[in-house]
Amino acid sequence: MKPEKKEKLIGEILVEREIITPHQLERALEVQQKEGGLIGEIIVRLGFATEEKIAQCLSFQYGFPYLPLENYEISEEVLKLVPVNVCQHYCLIPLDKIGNTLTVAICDPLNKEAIEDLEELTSLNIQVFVSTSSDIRKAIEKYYKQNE
Amino acid sequence: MKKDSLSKINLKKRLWVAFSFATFAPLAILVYYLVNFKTLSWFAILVVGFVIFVGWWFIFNVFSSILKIQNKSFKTLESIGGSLKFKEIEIENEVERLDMVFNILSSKVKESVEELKKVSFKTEELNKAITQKVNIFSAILQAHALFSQGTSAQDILQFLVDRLREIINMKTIVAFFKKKSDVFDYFLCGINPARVDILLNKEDFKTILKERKEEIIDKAHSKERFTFHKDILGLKNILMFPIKSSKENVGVILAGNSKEDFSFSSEDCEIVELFTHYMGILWEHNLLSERIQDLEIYDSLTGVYNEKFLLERLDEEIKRAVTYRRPCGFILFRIDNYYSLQKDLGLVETEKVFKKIVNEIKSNMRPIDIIGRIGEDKIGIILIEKNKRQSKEIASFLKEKISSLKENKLNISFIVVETPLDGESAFQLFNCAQKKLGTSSSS
Repeated sequence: MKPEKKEKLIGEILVEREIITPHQLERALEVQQKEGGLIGEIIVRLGFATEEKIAQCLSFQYGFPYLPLENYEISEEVLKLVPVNVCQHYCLIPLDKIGNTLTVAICDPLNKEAIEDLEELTSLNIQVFVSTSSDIRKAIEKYYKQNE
Repeated sequence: MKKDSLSKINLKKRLWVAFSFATFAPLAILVYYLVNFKTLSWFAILVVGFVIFVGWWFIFNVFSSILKIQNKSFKTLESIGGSLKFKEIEIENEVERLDMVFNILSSKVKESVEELKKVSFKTEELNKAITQKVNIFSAILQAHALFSQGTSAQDILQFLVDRLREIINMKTIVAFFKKKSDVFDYFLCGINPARVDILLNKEDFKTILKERKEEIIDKAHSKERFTFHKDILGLKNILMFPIKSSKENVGVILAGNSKEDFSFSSEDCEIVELFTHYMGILWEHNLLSERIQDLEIYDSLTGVYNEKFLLERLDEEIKRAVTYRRPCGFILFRIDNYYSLQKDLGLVETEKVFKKIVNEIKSNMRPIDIIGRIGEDKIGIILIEKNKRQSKEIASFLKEKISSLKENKLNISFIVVETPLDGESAFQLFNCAQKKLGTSSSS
């Protein structure tokens, strides 16, 4: 079920970068097979790595800039470009719009389909930043609730 | 009878003639002789004697006729068995006897007329009962015919409610059937559905529906445990009967009217019971059919998933897409000229064309994607982990493949929707696709 266009799976990258051990990856995969869910989240839940470590690892591997969202301010106009259900579904949040480019923070920058959906939805070019899923969820909760 | 009648024997005339011969005529002859000859000759006495004899002969004839009538009447009386009563009374006078015979005969006639009236009333009652029974059996036979024609159980139940109202001549009939634990379906006749909805929310009626037992309120059964029939339904008399299936009570039937001093007859109860029995069987059949439909997952003609199951699968795939933060595409194809094809080629040929289209799609899509038939003229395809752009590409490719089929008369439209852009559930996604497809004639 994993998309074939991903050259390497997150788990493999984490093992290569020695963030987790092969045994830990095996254990995480076992849990995934049993309970389902995303491997990155399972690794975090099992305490083998932190969200930040995984995000930084992805950023380093694929060249996506890492952006912590704690002190980031998002304007109402930008939020209106992407409905909240799309943000929650793909775990992303729009950050800024400059000209024809929309900057978004996403927890899985390799989710090509999500990026394409944003292009389809906004008719803008998408610039991707990596962030942790908990940061994104907090930001969604904070900004979209404010604008309800 | 005519030959025995007094008018036939001309009794009155004869009496006058007899009386004239016995009195006036001899007197007239005597007066004539005394005035003209001052004496009576032997010839005159002979003439007077002859006239008097003729007069008495007439009188004798009259009385003979009367005696004949009396004898005949007596014989008639004997033949109808009234002679015993007559014999008990000793009468020597013939006229009185005749009078008595006539009296007895007329009382016999009266009795017979009364008897006849009673018989005709009973016949009328019997006719009514026969008509009612014929109506009942004709209603049940009609219901059977409807059933064998494939009419839905709901329509047959409504038909039975209407006919029951006619047969037992009631103002209102409502049949309640248990659907889920506290949900009741109903079929009504002679009342506004809004009132029945109000009734279903009344606590005392809810209890009745739970208990599902026989209840009668009328002149003979005036003990009222509840008042909803007056307050909500506006009925004075009601009869409630449980509707039984083969296993349990599945509902309640309520029949009522507003007549004064009315009592439900045992026939009314029997008829209602007969109808409830039949309704119970129908309802059970209806529930079983619904269950079978629920369990069916394939479209019988094309062999692909049916609408219900396809949407269930779509819901599952959407849940998976949400968990893995992946998209889920859905294509809705429609054969725009499906119904005109049906007219031109007939149902069987159109279905063959439909099956060809389905097979063409199946052979050109990924094995993990899911195809199903929606309604009669639509095909739905769940594209796992495909976003809108990818789904549009697949849809265009499939449309090309369908168009390349020999059936060049086909007009195909399609709409692509996707989770999360167009909805977060199968219901939302499907509605969105239907809406968009409704507004576009050909994509």
